[in-house]
Amino acid sequence: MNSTRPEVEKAIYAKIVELARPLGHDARSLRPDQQIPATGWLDSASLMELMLWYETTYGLDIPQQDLNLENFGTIHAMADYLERCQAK
Amino acid sequence: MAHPLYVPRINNNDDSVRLTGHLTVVGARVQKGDPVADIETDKATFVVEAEQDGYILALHGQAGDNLQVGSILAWIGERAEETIPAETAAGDGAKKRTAEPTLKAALMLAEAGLDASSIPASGERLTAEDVRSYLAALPRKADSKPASNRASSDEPRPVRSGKPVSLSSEERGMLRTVLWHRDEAAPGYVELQYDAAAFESYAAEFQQKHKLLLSPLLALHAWRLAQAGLRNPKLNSTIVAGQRYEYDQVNLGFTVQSGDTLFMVVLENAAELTEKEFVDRLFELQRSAIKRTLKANQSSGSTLSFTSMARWKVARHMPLLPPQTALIVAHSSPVEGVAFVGATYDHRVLSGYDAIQALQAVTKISNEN
Repeated sequence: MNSTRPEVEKAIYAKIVELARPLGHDARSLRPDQQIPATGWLDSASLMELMLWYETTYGLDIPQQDLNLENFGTIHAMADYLERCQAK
Repeated sequence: MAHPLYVPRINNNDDSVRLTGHLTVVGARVQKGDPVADIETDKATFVVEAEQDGYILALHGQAGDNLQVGSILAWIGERAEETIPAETAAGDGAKKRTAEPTLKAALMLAEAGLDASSIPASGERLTAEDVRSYLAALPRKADSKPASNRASSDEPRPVRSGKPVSLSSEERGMLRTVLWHRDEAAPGYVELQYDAAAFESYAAEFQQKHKLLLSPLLALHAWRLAQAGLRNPKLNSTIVAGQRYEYDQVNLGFTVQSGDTLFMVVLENAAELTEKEFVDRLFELQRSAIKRTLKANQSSGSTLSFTSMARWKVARHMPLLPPQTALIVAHSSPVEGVAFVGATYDHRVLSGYDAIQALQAVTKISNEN
């Protein structure tokens, strides 16, 4: 999928808000540079769901060792990771 | 040759069953699988089926009679005019004979946890063939028995019209768990209040230290459970044929909810892993579950289990024991600073004290007894 960076960040934000809702959280105030796990809005299973959506949407197969805070801790980091993958 | 059809055992605790009625008549031609009689206990009903093709030579008991498990319910012959073996022909469902077992039969009895008195002998001695025939007549275990043949008294036939819907593999797995829990285990439940804030703080430090994307909180609790299973093998065991069966390694079961599906992922040999290795491996398994790429050994065969409903803000819950396990720990959500962990345990294997000790180990930050 070829998306601009703002489109990617908007899509990630929308997915996080969607995943947080059934857990009783309103994540609409999430900022792009805010650490997602630290908000407590997504639990481990929901973060896994987020990663599965991310891989499927952007056609990636993320190695287990890449699944860390540096690469996926914020919306900005997730968009950066995608850019690095697409640049390869 | 005439073959006896024995009264099967429906429930472990019932040595007799009530004959509701015969479903065939003497002289009738039957095929393997045809219904021969309806029997019941206070908990369940069961249709006894013919085990081979042939003719009904005799039917024992009358509707309402209590029949001993293992006694002869009917005789089936290859020809309608066959005679029933003289020494047992007069026997009815309320009577049975006890004979001294042969050495081979005695070994089979010991292995199966059975008593010779519960099995009718075809001759002077109770033979291995007698034991084999008796075991073959027993209802299959809950995991392989069709649910339709185990209708319990609290599951009456619906009076309203409807349609049967096949169960998914996950639903069949849950049915197996429920039936094992109901029919085999003697479940007890205990819970323990603990300092959730201290453990959350520890998990947050662990997450930052290792730059983990996911919170390791539940995994850190589960690792402590695996360690407790290593220290106390009773936690990692079950009952088989009247003996405690201690598993060789801790295969830690951990529930993962993905959409509408509840998985029990299984981390094999979990007690041999370091805390960090355990957390990493469990994350991998969770990821595989959500991707639906679990292998067979990663989704079955747990020997000790952990489940949490904290994500749903559930304050307390009592989980079912996975088949042939003695303990499952239930993690819940703290409410106004107060948190509980619970454990469902098989009282045949563990005492409440054993379960409490396991819960103490699960909630302690230091990995000690």
